[in-house]
Amino acid sequence: MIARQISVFLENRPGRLSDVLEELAAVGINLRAIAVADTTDFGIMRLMVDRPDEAEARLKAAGFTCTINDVISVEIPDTPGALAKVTRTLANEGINVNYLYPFSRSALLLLKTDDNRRAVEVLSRAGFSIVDEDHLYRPEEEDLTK
Amino acid sequence: MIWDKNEQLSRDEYRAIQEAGLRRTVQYAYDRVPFYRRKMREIGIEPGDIRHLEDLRHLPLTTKDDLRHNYPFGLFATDLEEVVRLHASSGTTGKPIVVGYTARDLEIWTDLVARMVTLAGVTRKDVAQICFGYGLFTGGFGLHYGLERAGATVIPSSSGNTEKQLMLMEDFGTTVLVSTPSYALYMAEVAQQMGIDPAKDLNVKLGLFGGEPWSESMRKEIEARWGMTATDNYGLSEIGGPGFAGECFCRCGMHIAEDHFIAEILDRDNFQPLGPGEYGELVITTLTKEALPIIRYRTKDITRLFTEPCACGRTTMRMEKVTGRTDDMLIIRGVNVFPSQIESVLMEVKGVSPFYQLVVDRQGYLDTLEVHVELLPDYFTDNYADLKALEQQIEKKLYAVLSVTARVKLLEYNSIERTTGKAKRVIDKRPKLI
Ligand SMILES: [Zn+2]
Repeated sequence: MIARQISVFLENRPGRLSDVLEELAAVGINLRAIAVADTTDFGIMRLMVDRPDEAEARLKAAGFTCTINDVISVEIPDTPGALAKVTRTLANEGINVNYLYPFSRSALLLLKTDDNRRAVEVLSRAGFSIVDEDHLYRPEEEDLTK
Repeated sequence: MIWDKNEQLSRDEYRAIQEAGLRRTVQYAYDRVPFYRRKMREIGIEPGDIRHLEDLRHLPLTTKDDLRHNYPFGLFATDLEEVVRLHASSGTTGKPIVVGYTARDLEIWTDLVARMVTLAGVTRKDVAQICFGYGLFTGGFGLHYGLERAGATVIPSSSGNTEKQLMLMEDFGTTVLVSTPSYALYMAEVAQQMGIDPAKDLNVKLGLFGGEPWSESMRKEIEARWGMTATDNYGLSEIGGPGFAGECFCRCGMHIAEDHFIAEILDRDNFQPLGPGEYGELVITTLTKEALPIIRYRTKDITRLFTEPCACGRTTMRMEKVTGRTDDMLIIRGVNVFPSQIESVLMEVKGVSPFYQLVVDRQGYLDTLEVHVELLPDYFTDNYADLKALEQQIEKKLYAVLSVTARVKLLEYNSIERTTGKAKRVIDKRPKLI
C-alpha cells in the first residue's frame, strides 16, 4: 500500500547529510531506505524510517525543512525484467514516475508517481504485491505479502 | 498634535531662519575649526561670502573620511569641557566617527526627537519599547530621551534576547516599537515560533523604524505581520542622530526639521544642486550645533525633496524614503543595481522568507550576481520541480526589474544570519581594482 516517507530539503554543503542522519541516530530511529537527489545547490533527501512521525518532529525541532508524504511500496520478483514490468504497467496507464528507489531488503521498491492512488490500482491489477507500511519494518522472516 | 510652531512656517520664514543659521554656522566653524578654515581658504572663500542659501553651493563638501581623519575630536568647535556627551558611529572597520554634544545640543536633540515621534503619532498614552542598541550608537539614547519628552512610557529594552523582548511586549502592553526594520521582521518570526501572533496577541500599533534603508514592500510585510502602522525616520550620527526627519501619519515623505538643518540634493555625478522632485544625494548642513557643526555633509543616501505643504498641516520640506545608498549601489556588468530593488521583488514572492543575501563575484571578466533566499518550510513539498520553478520565477521577476541576470539560490530556512541591528545584505567577492 501507500507508505509514508520523509523528504528533507538540504542545501548542498558539507556535513548537511550527516546532520540529518546523526539527528535520527540520536533517538535510535532506524533507516530502511534512503535516496538523495542532488543538484548544484540544493538537494532533497528521502528517507524511509520505522517511526516517521517521530523522525519528522525531531528533524523539525532541529531546524530542518522537511515534510511527510506518500510513496508506494511494491514488491517485485527478484528476476530480470521485473522492474521494467512495473514501469511499463504504469506507463501504459499514463502514470508518470517522479522517482523510485529500492528499500533495503531484496526486491522491494519505493515509487513516487504523479498519481499514487491509481498507480496502486493498476499495479495490483497487474499482479504486483503492494506492501503495507506496517509490514515494511517487520522482521525479514515474515512474509511481506501476507 | 503638532509639537513645535516651527513646523508650520511659510517657505519665506524657513528661508530667513536658514540663512541666518547658515551665516552663523559658517562664521562659527571658520573661527573655531581649523579644518573648515583651511578648506575655505584653499578655495578663497570667506565667511562673509556666504549670505544666502544659493551661496551654499560654493562651500566645500564634508565626507565621512574627513570626520574619520580628524578622529576623535578634531572637528569639535568647543573644548571637551563644554561637551557633556559623546557618541560614535557604528563603522564596520577602523576607527569610528565620534560626535559630541554640548548641554544645549542635547536639549535641542531631545526636542527634535520629541517632535519627530509626535509627528509619527506617539502620545502620552503610548508605551514605547526601544529595541535599538544603547551605548555609542545614537539611535537608542536619541529615541529614549525624545520619547520621554513626548510623554510616552519608555521601555529601554535595548537589542537582543528576542524572546524576552516579546514577553515584555506582551506583559507591558507595548504600543510603539522602535527598532531597525529587519529586526522587526525577525521579532515577528520569533513570535510566531513562540505561538504569538503579533497582529492579534500584541498591542503594538505603531513602529518607528530607522537605521537602514528599507523598501515599501518591506513596510507592507511588517505592517501585515504586526498589524501596525510602520513609519520611517531618518538621521545620521554625523549630524547628531535621529531627529533630522520623520514621517507623519500621511506617510508621504519625512518632514525635515528645517529650522535646524538645511537639506540639499546634489547630482550624483557632478555634485551640482538639484531642484525639488529630483533624485540625488542628500547633503546636510547643521544650523544650531555647538560641539560639532557640520557643513554640507555627504550622506551618500539617495532621495528627493518635496516642498508642498502636507495634509497633516505641517509646512516643513519632506524627503522621500531613502531607496538606496551610493555606497550600496552595485554595478553589475555596467548596470546599477540597488539591494532595495531586489528586496521589493523578494517580498512579493510567496514561499521565501524576507531574509536574503546578495553575493557578487566575478568569473573571468564578467560579474555574477547570486541572490540567496530562504525557502519557507511550509512551502516545501517533496517535489523537486516545484523548487526549481520557484527559483526560476524569482529569476524572471528579478530580470524584469534589474535588466541583469541574477541566479537565485534557495537556502534552508534560518541559514541567513538574523541580526538585531543592520542586516548585512551584500557580499562582494570581486577582486578590488587598485
Ligand atoms: Zn505631514
